Amino acid sequence: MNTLLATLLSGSGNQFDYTYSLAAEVGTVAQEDADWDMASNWQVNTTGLRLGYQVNDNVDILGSVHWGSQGNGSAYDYYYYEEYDESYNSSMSGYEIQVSETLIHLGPKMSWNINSWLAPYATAQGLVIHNRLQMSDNGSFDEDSKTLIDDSGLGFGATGALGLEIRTRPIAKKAQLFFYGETGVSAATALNFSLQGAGADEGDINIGDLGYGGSYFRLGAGTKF
Amino acid sequence: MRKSLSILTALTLLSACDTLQYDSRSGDLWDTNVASANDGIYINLPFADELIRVNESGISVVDLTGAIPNRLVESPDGSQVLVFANWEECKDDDSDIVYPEDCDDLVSNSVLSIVSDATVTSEVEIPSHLNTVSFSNDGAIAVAYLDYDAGGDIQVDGFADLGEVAFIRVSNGSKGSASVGFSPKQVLFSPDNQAVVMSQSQVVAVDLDTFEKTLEAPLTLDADQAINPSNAELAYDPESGVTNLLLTVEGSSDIYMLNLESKYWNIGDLGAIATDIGVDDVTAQSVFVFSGSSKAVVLDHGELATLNASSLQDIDLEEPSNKALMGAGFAMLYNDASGAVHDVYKLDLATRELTEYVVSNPVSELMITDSGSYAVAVVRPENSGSSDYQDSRYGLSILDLSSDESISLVAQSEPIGVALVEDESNSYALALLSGSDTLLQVNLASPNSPAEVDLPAPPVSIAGMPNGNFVITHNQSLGMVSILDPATLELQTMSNFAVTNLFEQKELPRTESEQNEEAE
Repeated sequence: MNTLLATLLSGSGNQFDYTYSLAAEVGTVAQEDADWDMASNWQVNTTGLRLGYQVNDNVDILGSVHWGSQGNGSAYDYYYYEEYDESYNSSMSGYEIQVSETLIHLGPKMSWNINSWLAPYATAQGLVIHNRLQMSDNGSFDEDSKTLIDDSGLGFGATGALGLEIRTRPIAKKAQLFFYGETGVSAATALNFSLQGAGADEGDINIGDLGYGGSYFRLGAGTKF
Repeated sequence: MRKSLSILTALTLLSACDTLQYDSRSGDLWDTNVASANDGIYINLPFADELIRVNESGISVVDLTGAIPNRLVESPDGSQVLVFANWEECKDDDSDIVYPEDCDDLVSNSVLSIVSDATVTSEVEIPSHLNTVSFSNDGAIAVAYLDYDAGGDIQVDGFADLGEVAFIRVSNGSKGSASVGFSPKQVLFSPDNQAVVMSQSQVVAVDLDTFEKTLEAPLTLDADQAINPSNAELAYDPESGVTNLLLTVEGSSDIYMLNLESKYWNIGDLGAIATDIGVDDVTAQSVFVFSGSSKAVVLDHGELATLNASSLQDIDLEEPSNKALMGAGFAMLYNDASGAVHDVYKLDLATRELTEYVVSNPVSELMITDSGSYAVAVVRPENSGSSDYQDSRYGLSILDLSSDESISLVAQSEPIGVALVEDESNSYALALLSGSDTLLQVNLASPNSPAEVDLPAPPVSIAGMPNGNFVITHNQSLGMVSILDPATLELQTMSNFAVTNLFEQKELPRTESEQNEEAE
């Protein structure tokens, strides 16, 4: 095992010359708003793709898109269990909520290439978040639902992170596999949702906002070519 | 390299140490006990701690300046809604404290907000334990008091006089209060603008112009003896022009009569413990019924000045009735406590003629149409576990008070709401059945083929609105109410309102100093 690892990681000592990189990722930007508990008690990781463009040996421009969905079913569970609590008296049937997330990062990455297979790095990226909030009583989010909330929100922010990248031996001098993990902090404006035109005189009625911010975490694997 | 890893480790630890926040709220997003006013339906959102108004123009959020609504009561004319609310105050004046959960010294203040057209017109501080409201005959004065039978937790901040009754002038929010003794139970309003409050062992009258006590009448001269009023009504004597209080007490067959003008008591014996009193202003008579005796007693108000045994006339019944529901010139007597009694009686107070109706099952509720042409009884399954199809099911019994005929209908499920409505030529019952998405309009003259109105979702309740329409609440967590026009059976449904400000975390609303400034 150790021999295989040494073989994979060993290189000529020179950096692999590439133009682009493509990686698959999982990770989170922390949800800092307690109201997220209505969607799910535990934050679910997003998954996505990261595309890189090498500017020079130490600098890449990174862009990534992540998708995720925070749903409940938990609201149904909540009511289900509470039915057996004699102190609870609910006349309602329960509701379902789903938040579909899209997170876009774009920014530079500065690497410190210690050797051909190990490179700590730092990155600072702009962040755009789009969420679609859907709620209904019967769990379907189409127009047949008797009640339906469907609105989108947009947030803007930034992420700063430090990471560690491990690279394998280049394959036929054309491609190189790499693995990385990074962590840091994110901050973003809250995403606001409303009932469009539901207010008196067709004004909007505020639902409120959901916020992101705090810890940031990513794990990824990909190839440079 | 080592430095980089150290920073990486520190960042990882830092991110792991984020303060975790939890949403501690729970319960329904909206309260189906809505208040119907002339300008719309007022709805309490207990999850978001908001009050909203919903009408055909949309949703309006009522700004209670941070107070959290608990309970809504509409005024009799529908012009205003009274909102029992409380606002939290942090006694720690640290400016960093923004949210209630950040404060270790939190106190709750109770207010009664008077709302009209989705705006607070006035706000009155009231003791937190007051849980019941009665309105004066003209709706101008609201009387708030503690009724132990109303249920719910009794909230007391510091020390509280549980016998305090608050009088609130609805038009401007001015308030007076009076201590009426222990455990106020019922408030009646006399034609001479007095509120008569029954409490343990005494009756107190309060002038509604000055909010001053005009009468304190003990029910016993023995301070160690507790006499609890069970029922009370005001009876007008047309001969003397005097209003009298008729009062029965728990565990006694005595009838107490208090002349509110001379303030003299008179006591008679009904021969049994009365369970209900009905007063008919048309014939100026009162009716007493008894769960433990198969009779009714009629008292002519003309005899009130000289109340004695001959003033009380017994009417024999086949089975006991514990409730008296008054129509114009007649009383409907029924029993909603016994599972064995099927009799409903119509007592004509002018002729003393008694008509007996036998309904299919025990009665849960009885209603009379405004015209007095029909009575409708909601009946429930027999307690005996009978295997008979009709005996084991809910239903409606329709009593034609003109022809003395009755028809019993079996319901597919429990009626969860029944309302009566009339037009120029017909009388109808509007019925909601548990688990059914249909509203049934039963023509009381030909009840066998009711009209059906499809509802958008299962209903929870139906209630009349000041404008003659009906509001139906639905079992939809995100909010749904429908307004039914009984003339056209058209529904106007409004939904999704329960998410209003759902994701907004309430900050501490106001400080004591701000409150004082507002008061000034």
